[in-house]
Amino acid sequence: MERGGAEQNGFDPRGLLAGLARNYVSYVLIGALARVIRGTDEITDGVDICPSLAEDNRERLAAALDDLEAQRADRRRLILDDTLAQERVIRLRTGMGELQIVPEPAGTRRGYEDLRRGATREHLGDGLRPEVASVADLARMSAALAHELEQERGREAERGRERAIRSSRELRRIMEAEIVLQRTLGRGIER
Amino acid sequence: MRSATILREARLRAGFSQEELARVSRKDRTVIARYEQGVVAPSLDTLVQLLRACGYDIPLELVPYDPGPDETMAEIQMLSPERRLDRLLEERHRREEGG
Repeated sequence: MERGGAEQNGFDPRGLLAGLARNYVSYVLIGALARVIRGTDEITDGVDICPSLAEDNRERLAAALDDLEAQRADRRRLILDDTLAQERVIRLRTGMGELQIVPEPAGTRRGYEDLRRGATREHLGDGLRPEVASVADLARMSAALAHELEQERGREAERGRERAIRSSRELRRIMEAEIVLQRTLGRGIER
Repeated sequence: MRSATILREARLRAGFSQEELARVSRKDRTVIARYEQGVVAPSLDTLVQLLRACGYDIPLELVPYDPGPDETMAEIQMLSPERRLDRLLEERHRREEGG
């Protein structure tokens, strides 16, 4: 399939990631897109990132959001520094799909610093090589999210919890398959 | 080979030895042995004939292909991260086109 197919349906993850790369933003790709890249079978129309909160990186992130013409999904004015400190998830809309910024995802400690240890750079085409959270970290985040959503009521929380449980199980199966593969190849696996 | 497994299963359920199945189906015993070992695959018509000789039938109708979760996962694992992203975009596109 031609790459242009991505733009036809309004979701262009490569375009979004290119906007971050152009501005040298340090982040780890998380959420459904990261899970898909790691091998789960799911559909998403957004990009979730956990950025470094270092001051110079916050400036680069702000520049990238300007570049991408990102706006808050709730239409409030985006003041990045305040928002990063106050909100767990910042939901943004861009012309290339949704971008969610998650400074400290469920199940992690100090977000980016925690996730970057297990993350690896993956080739996604068009010269893009973002850092993608490891399968183990993604499973950990899904399980923690499912646990958090247990405390919430409503159908949306229930659906979210079911999705998170499904993702967590699928990621664990991928981990098991990877371990078997590593053993078959006669190499140790480091986790 | 799936035909080997299903043929052996039908024969054992019928309580036949290979020799007995050869007799009722008018096939050579060695041919049946080769089918069951998966050395040679019977034609669809021959498979149906052998299953019927065991007292079983196999429904043949077209149904939409639906790979199980394990098969899908194995297929995805064979793809590079770049292809997995392409696959996501193709699937989204396909769903949108389908309504």
